[in-house]
Amino acid sequence: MIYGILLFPFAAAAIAFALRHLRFAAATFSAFASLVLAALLVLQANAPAATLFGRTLALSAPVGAHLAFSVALLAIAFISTWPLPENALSWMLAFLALGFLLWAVAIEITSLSVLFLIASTVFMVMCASADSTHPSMWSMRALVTLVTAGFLMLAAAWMVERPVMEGMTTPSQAGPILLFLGYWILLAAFPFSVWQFPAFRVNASIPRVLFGVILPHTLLIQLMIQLQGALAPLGSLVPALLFYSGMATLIMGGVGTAAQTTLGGMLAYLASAEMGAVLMALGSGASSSSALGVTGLVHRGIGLVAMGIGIRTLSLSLGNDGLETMRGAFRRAPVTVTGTLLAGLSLSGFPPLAGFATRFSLYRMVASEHLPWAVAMVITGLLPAAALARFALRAFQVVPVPRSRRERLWPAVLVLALGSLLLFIGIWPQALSSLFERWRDVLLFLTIPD
Amino acid sequence: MDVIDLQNLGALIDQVLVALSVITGLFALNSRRLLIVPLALQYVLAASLISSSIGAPLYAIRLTLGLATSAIIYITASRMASLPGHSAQLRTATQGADARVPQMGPVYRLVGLALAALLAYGLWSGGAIPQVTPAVSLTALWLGAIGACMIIMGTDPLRAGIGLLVCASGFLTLYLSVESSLLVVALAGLVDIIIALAVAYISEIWLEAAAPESTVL
Repeated sequence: MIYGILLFPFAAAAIAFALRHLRFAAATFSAFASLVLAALLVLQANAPAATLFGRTLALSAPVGAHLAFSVALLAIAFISTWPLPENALSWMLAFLALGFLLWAVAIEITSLSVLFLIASTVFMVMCASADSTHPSMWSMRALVTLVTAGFLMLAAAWMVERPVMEGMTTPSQAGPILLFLGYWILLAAFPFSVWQFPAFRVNASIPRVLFGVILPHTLLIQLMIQLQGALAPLGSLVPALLFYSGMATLIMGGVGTAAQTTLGGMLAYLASAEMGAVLMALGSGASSSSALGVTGLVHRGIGLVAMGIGIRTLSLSLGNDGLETMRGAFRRAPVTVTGTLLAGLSLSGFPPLAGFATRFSLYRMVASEHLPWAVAMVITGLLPAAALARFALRAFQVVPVPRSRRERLWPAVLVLALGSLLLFIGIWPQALSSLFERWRDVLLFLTIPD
Repeated sequence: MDVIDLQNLGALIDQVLVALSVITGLFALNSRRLLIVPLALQYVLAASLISSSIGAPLYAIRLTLGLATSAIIYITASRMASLPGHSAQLRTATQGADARVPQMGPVYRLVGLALAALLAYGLWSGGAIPQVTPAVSLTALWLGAIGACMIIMGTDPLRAGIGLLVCASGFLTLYLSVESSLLVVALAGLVDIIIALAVAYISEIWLEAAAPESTVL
């Protein structure tokens, strides 16, 4: 079965390429294929490992559950391209990125895994650059950053997998450090966040899901798994680094959101801030840290997809995603504005939405040890909410909106459904637990050593 | 015997130094299409140097993949050059928000690349990399340094992308000289090809965005 899962995205990429000029067919097929892949990933939990050229291929249950969740969100982005057209190659490039990523998590040799990861990130950059509307060197700079981080990890993998070199009696200490540095860059945590922001500003949903959900989910799972393996020599250093870089990312994201003049820019910094909160939760060392972090990651994924599709819908309806363009947006796109606001407020950790639970636990945790830091975090946490209030004030103005058109109903409903889900989870967190208890347990079954 | 080996080693280093200097000089050329020559040459040099550690079949694979990568870049450079008024388009594009610097001439590029190469030579002279032959470590450092320099100086995606490919080639030369399983060599080649495809794709998208009314691309 594992071979089927690993080859499925490449077959889907070939079909998506063949259908690229038939937008409705390509979008429908891609969404359906993603859902099938998500189902296969859940069904294969704990399936026996396979061997290829002497290398073990296996997808553990938590890895499968996280990938299934990410791929299901990608399916939502795919189906939104029905009425919101994106580049004709986006579906194929997304499947290729996904295919190589699956190989990266399935193969147990770190060096081979890193080579697959590099291939996957290159396809993600291609997918994001496909929708560029102005000449920008961003794609090339991101490509250079990601490939460099990949090579750093490749060198680290060699050091880790060849622990005792000639004339050396102890394994190299540089290996785990370089490996973690590679993860740090790819996760776009502070101060390496800069390469990722333009990917969120590109007005397309598929690259946002690839860079904002699929890549960080996979990397964090890999990172947590390797804390018991290749990264074990770093001991408690990794959780501490995660915690402090997470705090810096959270603060930078909060301040950055307030300074944005476009919704795409706001989403970029909101996603970054929420990633900071997740990293802080994972690195906190508390008994519930991994559950808190993973829950935050799941909520972040839903919020990011909802707001991403919302911004795309608003851009097509009003002309662009500039905050000044949003004056009177509620009259032309009431459903989208409501859904986008719900998703944005959840990403900013505003009560009673889903994102609040993670933020509140973090604030409490930090306040118990360093009150001034907690105050700084609360203040920077309020800045995104203030930025969203600016958007809301403009959107609810009763002014004529020239050269605009009504929102597309199908993506608007998707955005509102996802936003409402975040509100529902925030108000009644236990509601879905009874329905998806087993799946939730698998999803949260990742531990970080204290 | 040892004296003969040292003499052979010295001769090999001299040959590698000459080859690397020629490659570095050619990378300073103005014509994007001609950049195929140093790109292909450095793939041949790098593959030849690690052929003893990876064996003849893997050497052939590495060489073929390197030349295929060069071919992809050549096709992109030719398409760019065949655009009517492509110079004007490139100028328009490089005057965008991302690149408000004047286009650097070949002399400036040559000086920059020479400085990077000197830095690499200095690093190589300073100390040996364990488990790697001196010729391989010199080539890897040299290619890494001039590749990084080309990325920094590149004002369009094609030149920066070629820099990335050269840098990657330097790193992979070092890596494959110590890790030479069939799967790793094949995957490294695949990664090279994918990066080349990405460079080609991004270059065309960049040029399209610079001239949206163009129907040639």
